[in-house]
Amino acid sequence: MEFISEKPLSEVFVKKKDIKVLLVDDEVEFVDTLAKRLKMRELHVDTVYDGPQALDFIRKIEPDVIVLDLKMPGLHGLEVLREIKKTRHEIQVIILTGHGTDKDEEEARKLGGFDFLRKPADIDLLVAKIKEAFQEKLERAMTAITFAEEGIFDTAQKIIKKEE
Amino acid sequence: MSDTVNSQDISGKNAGSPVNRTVITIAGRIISLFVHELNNHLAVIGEHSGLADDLIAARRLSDADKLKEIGQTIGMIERRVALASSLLKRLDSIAGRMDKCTTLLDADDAISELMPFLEKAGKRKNIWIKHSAGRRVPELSGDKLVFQCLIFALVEELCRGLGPQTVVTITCDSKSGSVIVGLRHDLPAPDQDDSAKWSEDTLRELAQMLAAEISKTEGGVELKFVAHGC
Repeated sequence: MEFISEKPLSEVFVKKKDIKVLLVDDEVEFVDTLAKRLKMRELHVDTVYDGPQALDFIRKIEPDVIVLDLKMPGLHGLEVLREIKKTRHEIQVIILTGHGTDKDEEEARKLGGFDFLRKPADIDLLVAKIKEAFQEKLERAMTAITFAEEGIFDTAQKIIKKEE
Repeated sequence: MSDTVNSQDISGKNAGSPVNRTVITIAGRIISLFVHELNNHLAVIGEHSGLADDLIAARRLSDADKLKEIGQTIGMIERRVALASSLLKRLDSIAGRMDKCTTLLDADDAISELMPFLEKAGKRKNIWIKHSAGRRVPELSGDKLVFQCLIFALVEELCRGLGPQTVVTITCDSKSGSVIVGLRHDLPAPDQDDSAKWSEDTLRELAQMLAAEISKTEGGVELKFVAHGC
């Protein structure tokens, strides 16, 4: 009997509803409708409507993937991304914006953003990106654990921070 | 209601002047806000339409539940289409007269037309912009686009120094042959060192084009125009 799967570990052991997604966008109707559609695709979804709410949320609950708008009142999405990455490197962030420039995209990637999508994004593409982001998070965590178990904490930390 | 008194071509011989470049820059900012808002409406329409597709394909819902939810979704799409259409009409109205300079203009009408863009500009800092149209004020003689650019730049400049949750109220009043446009904020301005969006010189140049005076008041800014016929 063949036990080895060709699929990544995350796909073998994790159900979609185990992926915790946080949507951050000030356009309430947009984000609520998108949340409904992602839930219909069996993802676990929470929503907040601005940057400070997002930062507050991740202090209490750790999402696996954040889908983040850029132009929001109060705190710009890139600032939110910067704050997230200061303390929670392991959370993957996908930018979903209607108004992002190439410069924004470059900056978001420099800050550690996982991907940069423009509205309107195809729902299947967004789900695929969320799964990819989650998979990367899981694989980095697993590699980091391996190094940590060997006592190589520096490398473990660098892997989580995407420095290695 | 405005009648055209005189017309000049903004893209013609005066297009290169600093003031006209300012007008074009501000008009560009307004268009950018418009594009932002329209894109938001389209994104919401796109999600609702996607949701309708998802509901049709959903196996777990009964036909009655599907119909109810799809009905609500169509209602949301219709509402967004109406909002986008109203926004388009306003922009069309502003864009349609960019080549006609001097007109008789109703300050309240011109501000009303600009309100979605002012609201959007304020919302970026969580500031609420309100227009309180009171009794009818006399018309002004001037370029409506320049008037709107001046109001837009003043609101942006005022918002720069204000904190979140402040309400800025725009009013028009008449006093001894003058029309006074007031911009007042309800919360004190915190000390901030954000760089100016529009310089004082730019604002004064725009005001001069309308023969208006700008003065700072306690809790805001005031513009004084000569009423038409006075």
